[in-house]
Amino acid sequence: MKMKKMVAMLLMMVMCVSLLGVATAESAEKVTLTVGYWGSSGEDKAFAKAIEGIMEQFPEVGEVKLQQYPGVADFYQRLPGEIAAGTAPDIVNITNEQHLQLIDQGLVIALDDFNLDMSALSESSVNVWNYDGKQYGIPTTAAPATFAVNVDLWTAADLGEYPTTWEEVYEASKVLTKDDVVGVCLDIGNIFHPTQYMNSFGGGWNGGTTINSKENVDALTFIFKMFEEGLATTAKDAGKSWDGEVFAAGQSAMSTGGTWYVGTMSASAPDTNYTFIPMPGGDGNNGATLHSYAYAVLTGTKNEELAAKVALYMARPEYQVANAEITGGRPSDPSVMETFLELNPELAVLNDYEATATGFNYPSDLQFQTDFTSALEGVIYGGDTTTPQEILDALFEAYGN
Amino acid sequence: MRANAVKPRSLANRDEHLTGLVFILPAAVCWILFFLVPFAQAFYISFFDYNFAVPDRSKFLGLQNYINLFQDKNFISFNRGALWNTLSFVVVVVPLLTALSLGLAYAVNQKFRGRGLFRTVYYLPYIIAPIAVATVFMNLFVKNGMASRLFVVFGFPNVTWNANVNLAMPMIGIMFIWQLVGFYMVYYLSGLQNIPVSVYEAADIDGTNGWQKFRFIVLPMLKPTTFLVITYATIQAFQLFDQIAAVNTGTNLGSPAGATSTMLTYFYMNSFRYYKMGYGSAIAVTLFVLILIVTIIQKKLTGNTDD
Repeated sequence: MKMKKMVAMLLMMVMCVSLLGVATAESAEKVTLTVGYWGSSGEDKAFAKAIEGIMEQFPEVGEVKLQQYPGVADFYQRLPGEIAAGTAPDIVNITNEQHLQLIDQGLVIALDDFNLDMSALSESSVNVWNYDGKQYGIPTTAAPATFAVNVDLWTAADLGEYPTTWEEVYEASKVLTKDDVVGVCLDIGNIFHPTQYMNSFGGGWNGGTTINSKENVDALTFIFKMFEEGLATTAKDAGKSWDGEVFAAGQSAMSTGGTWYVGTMSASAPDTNYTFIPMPGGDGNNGATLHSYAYAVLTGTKNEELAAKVALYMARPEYQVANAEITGGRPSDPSVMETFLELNPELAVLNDYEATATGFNYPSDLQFQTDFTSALEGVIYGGDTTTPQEILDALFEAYGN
Repeated sequence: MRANAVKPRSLANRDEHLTGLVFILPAAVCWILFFLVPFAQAFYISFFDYNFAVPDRSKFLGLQNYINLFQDKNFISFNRGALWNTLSFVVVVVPLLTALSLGLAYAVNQKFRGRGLFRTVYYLPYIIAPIAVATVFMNLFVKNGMASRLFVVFGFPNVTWNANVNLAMPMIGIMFIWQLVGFYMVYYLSGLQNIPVSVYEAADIDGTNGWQKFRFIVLPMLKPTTFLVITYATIQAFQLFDQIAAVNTGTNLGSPAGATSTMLTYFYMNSFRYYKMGYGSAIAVTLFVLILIVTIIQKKLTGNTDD
């Protein structure tokens, strides 16, 4: 009997110790956060810099993992499945070109409840991540679109001042288009480019509500005129995969583009003289879009507030310097701008009009982008006789909300 | 005593059945896991406005996805619709591919010096990655490119084929045939080598010429191979994707203006780009039914009764 009692007591003690152990382990259990991003141009090194010091700053974080996707298409293809399976990253670095789809589908969360101080970041970059009054991203880059001009070709044609209106671009294109060169590369396969024309004609998408505005119709009429008269080309028509390659190959004298041209030009055409100028404006405004990467927190993240705070920490200047050095990303934090401009002096002009640059504001249904570019291709590649007004009216009917 | 010595017939049959079942079990499990279950899931999802990431937001639509699909001009239009593009691609490319494969196989089955080299060279394109093939073809078929200029002789315009709504799909077709012809040539080659020499010898005695041998010996005896080639090639043509994805890097699948949109690219765009999983599943189910119907018709037409 005594023996039985002793065994029972021993078992009780073992049980208590076990329970205590479990409780202690649970209280000390730390959070693992995963950060997802795409790219294969050294982004891994920039993000390694971003996650440095997280565990010291946030003791409840036990580990931070980086999850790299080969490209943007892979990222968007895998994301829904990963969210459904519970294996998606907690924080993702995405751009403001497709973010409305993610917001509409409830895949990213609003960050307003977490009192994040984004005052160090440029107002325009923060604004492009605001949708319906809610903040969905912490911007890490702010890259206004720009207009690239091949200085060698421009000077050889003795054209004088760079264009400030689309009419001047049209007139210059007539002079510049000869032999294997056309005036402008206007890559209609990528909605980014026609959007610059829409915006600078005073129009824009505004989530679909102004698809068939007079300004947009005027912009599209201008685009078609450029192609009809053989003054514009596309990447596809030039046998290239994107507009930067066409410009670097000297097949076009001008092109709508962005900060990403710098890397392409230095790699593919280091001897070509080129410059960036503000987007020519059909009605005198600049009207460029602002392309921005941002950290967003995905739906299903276990500790949303912690993830949001870690995301803000990751957007700090040290990361933005590394990102500028490695990928050429233009920082959203103005305090980093000096370093960025030392690396990319040719992009100084962007500072002049960043404040007026706006988000893309495409309708959230991404099929709009396909239908729009497809309609343009039908006219330019297929000889469809649809007018700009008819194209935009049809799109408004389908996506005008 | 006798009853104990010899196993009853029913028991022997049962053992045979069990053995058979054990042998087919791994394949059956794989088929169930990797085909039947996903297909059943896709079929189920096709009746919903399905949100893959947040299933609570899904809405039951009944047959609406199918009704919308057959009213969707991007799908059913004879002018660059995905269904029409796919069917015309299959109808044009599969017979060409089959005939060329057979012709090449017949040629390299003859006795001549270096035929091993020819066989290898014709097979090589099959093992090259589609992205590499696409890059080369895009350069060949660019305005003033080698192939574009060559086709001018046949009355084609000197343009970038990939940027022309009438020529983009033919370029994909040429690429598709070039890449697969060697693969199907090998099928035919093995079929040709299975025809007994004695049959040819008997034909020689009967005084047949080369064409008669081909028409009355080779073609009939290659019927099972032809059925196999046509079926596989048809399925591959219906599932055309890689080549289109490769030539449309940086733009929409189906560019220019839907000229290279196929059922599979349209399924992909809806499911993984627009996140319209229900609609995408309806396309996938339709594609499955279409391939099934075509395969049954082929089987009937070729009179193949092998199970």
